[in-house]
Amino acid sequence: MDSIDRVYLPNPRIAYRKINGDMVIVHTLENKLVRLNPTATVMWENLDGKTVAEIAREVCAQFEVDEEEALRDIVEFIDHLIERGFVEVSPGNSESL
Amino acid sequence: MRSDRREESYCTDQSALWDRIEATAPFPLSAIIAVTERCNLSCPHCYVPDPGDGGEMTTSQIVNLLDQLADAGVLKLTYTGGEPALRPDLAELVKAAATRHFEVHLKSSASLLDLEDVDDLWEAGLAELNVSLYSDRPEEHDDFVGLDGAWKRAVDSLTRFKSRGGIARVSVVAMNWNAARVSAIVDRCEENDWPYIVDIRVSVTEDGSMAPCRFRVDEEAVVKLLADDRLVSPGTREKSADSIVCLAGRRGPYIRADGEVWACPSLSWSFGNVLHKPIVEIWNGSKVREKLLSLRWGDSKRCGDCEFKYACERCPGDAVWEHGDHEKPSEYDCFLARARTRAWAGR
Repeated sequence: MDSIDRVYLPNPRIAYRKINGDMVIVHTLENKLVRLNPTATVMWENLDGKTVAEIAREVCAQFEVDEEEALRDIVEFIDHLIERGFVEVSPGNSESL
Repeated sequence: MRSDRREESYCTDQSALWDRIEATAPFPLSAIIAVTERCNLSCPHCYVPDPGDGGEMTTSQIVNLLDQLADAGVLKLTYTGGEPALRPDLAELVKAAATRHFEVHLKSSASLLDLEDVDDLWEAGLAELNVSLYSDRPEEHDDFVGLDGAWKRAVDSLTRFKSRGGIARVSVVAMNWNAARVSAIVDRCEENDWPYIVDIRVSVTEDGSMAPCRFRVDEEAVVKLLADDRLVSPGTREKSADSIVCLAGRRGPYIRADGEVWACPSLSWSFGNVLHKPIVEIWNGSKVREKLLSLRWGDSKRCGDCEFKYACERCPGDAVWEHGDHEKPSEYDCFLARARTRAWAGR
């Protein structure tokens, strides 16, 4: 499976909420709390069953960015989230990026 | 885009970022729901009185409340009691909260939980299990709570929950009968990597009974307890006349089993009832809450001038029960501030 066809989902044990337009994520088990800016918030909100490629298209539709750059950014962003335990690969997509 | 997509830099102090977010949020980031006042134990220091006839919210009423709290932006949800495990729908309530993306905490004696129940709660999405321990000696704990085997259930549950990957936290209330055992309880927590909270405050009950006060530690015991560096009280801070007195009304709501909304378990002022009105309307429209928010340290001349104010964690709730005036300190708070000051001077 190509990496852009993979699906990533929020870790079911973290809490997250959109507050004043920004996504706030709490992961107490890892003692982590972050606030995403509006662009990252859009990426996060699309971690709902969409593939990486589909998220890139959503981001392109909302921000002035070409699809190749969006893909690169999203892959990096998801790597970042995986490192912190905020997301995990959807069952059936067991390979990492 | 690249420079604009990142999350906010991590704060070394996570609580500072939490406070900063909460300060501008339209609703507090945490909430406590007491799902029952019933309890299988008989701990005589407990602030929850014997259950009256106020009833309990049903599963669907609590789920409806969860939806409201999620929409309001609440991140951290704590279920407490009474003993929450007396409700057969407890795992269902945990799952309902977890699927709504709350971080779910549970305060329980664990005396009704077997290992399978603990597993079920973990699988349902529980992040933290918070259990009270009153002694490192099983027989003393069991004698105090009135149930043989309660200590073992508590320790087994903590051990199991920790082994599954959750946070197993211990709450310790230091009282006159167990003050000498607190250090040993903390040792046990540290050996097992269980975070702990030690409280030297014993409050009156929610309906104003002073019965628990007979378990309060005296000044000598406070001094001895606080000689242990691990028991530094977190609430101490510099105070000016404009300083707030406590976080009641600022931190999240305490929602009682019957749906009444309070600022905290120590202050029996109702803001309204979630069975009759949405929680956000109750919270943001409460005149009682406004009264609390306006309370300042300098409102009491005695407190403003007090030489022990740095060490004081004044509780308007205790003051209301002691003499009826939330703007004046309780003698209990004055005692604790003096005792803390003396303890820290000796370090």
